[in-house]
Formats: sequence, structure tokens, C-alpha cells
Amino acid sequence: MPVGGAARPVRSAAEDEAFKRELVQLIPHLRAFARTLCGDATAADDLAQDAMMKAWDARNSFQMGTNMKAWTFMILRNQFYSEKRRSWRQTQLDQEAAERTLVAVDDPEAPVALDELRLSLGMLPPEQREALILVGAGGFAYEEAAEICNCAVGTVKSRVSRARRALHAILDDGAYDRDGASAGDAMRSILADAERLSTVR
Amino acid sequence: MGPKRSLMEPVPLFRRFLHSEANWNLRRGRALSGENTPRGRPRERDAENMIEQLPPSAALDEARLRQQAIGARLRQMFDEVVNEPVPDEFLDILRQADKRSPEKG
Repeated sequence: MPVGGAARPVRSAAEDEAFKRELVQLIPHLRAFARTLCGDATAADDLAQDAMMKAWDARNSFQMGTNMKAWTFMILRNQFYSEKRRSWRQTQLDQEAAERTLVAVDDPEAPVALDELRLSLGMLPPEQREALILVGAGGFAYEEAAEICNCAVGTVKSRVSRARRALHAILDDGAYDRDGASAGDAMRSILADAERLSTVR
Repeated sequence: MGPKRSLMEPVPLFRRFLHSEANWNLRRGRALSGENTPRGRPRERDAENMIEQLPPSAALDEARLRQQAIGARLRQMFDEVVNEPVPDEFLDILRQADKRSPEKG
């Protein structure tokens, strides 16, 4: 499975060590990205581990000093879409998965909104979701996201903007796939954050 | 030796800001009752990343606000996973891979 190939000059142990340190730092981000792609936390960790190993095996083909985060995200994403053919991926987040990914927050109302957001995200087309996650949460520039997704920068921009609009509409209408909690509540709770953002310095 | 410490990587300022806010313990009621507070005041932050394509029109304040909030939630969702402790499995796997690496004993 080595992607790097033995033909390339093998790096020194020190270089490997540096690579590994950087890779280890990226694990939390790989896990987070995988979680947004898979929904299911266990499947996500499997994916993140696979991506980590692929990155390690391909370390000789990575140019130190370039953006390793984007590089590993690209590997993870490729891995995800090739695994997808084996169809373990869920298109929609099932409720159980959403529950499992929930993290307790002090504010009893916050988890509700987070949950709604997760479910709503699950309703977006995958390419819109990943674009939004990369740019909106992963901290990538449009250019980097385009590289990761192997598409044009303009495509990323339009995906992000469509995703935002769709997400907004889903949350607003309460069209996300869940009974029980009122959509209005979710939006209100989300708006509370907005209020805070605009008033807190 | 790296692993433990390297997991504590520095988070970008804005994220640290988000997490330092006592985990979003803002009360919904308070926020809603604050509807008279000037919310259109343009304050550029990372959150604007999400809405940079919107034209700067006062009429879009509401939409801006919402997108900003969704963006913040999105980051919160992502960062919650980022801030989870990494399962030992990951480091174990990497350690094993290290052993079977060529040119290494």
C-alpha cells in the first residue's frame, strides 16, 4: 500500500521524526474532518486512521514545508470516496450517530442547536458539505479547499455559498430529519450566538 | 518526546476565543431580549469568513447575523472533535508502522 514508493530517496530518521511529529499534530483535525464526512464516529476514526497510515506510507512524496494539513486532508478525502464504493458510508446521519457525536456543553440549549446543525449538514449534498466544512470550519482558504477537493476555486466558492444558503433554509424551516425538537428553537439558539458574537468583544 | 505535547497544538485565536467563552453559556432569553442592541455594527472577525461574499448592505444584517451564527456553530462542531483526546489507537498504529519502516533496524 505504500504510495510513496521505494524509488524515492529515503529520508533520514530525523526527517521521518519531524514528519511524524507534524502528522501526530494533525490527527485531531483528521478525526474532525472524517467525522463530518462519515457522521458515524467509529467509521470516522477508521477513516482517519487509514488516512494517517496512507500519509505515513507516502511521507517520502510529501514536500516538507508545504501545507501538510491540506495534503493529509486530501488523502483522507480520497480514501473516503474510494471506501464509499464499499458503501459503509451513510448519506444521512442516523439519530444514534448524531447522539454519539454530541459533546456535552454547559449550556443545556446548545446541544440542541448543534444536533440540528449536524442533522441539517447531513442533508446537504456531500460536495457542498465538505466545501463548507473545509472553508467554514477547517480554516482552509478557498484555494486550499479546491486543491483538497480536486476542483476549481470557483467551484468551491459556489459550493460553499450554496451550502450556506441551503443550511440556512433547512434550519429555518426545520426541515431537517428529526421529530421532537422545534426548529424555531434551534434557530433561536443559534441566533443567540450571533447576538453574542456581535456584542462580545 | 513529542506525542503528548504535540497534541496540545496551539489553536487559532478565534477558536480559542470561542472555547474560552465558558462554552456558549449565553442564555437564549437574554439574547432575544437584547434585540434592541445594535447588532449591525460591523466588526470584522474570522466569522466573517463565512459571509464575505455578501454585499455590505444594512438590509442584509439579519442574514449576516444568521450566517455568522451558523458559521460559529460549524466551527464549534468541528473544534469539539479536534479538542477530543486522540484515542491511543492512533499513536499505537503509528508506532507499529514506525517499527516496520524500512531502513529502521
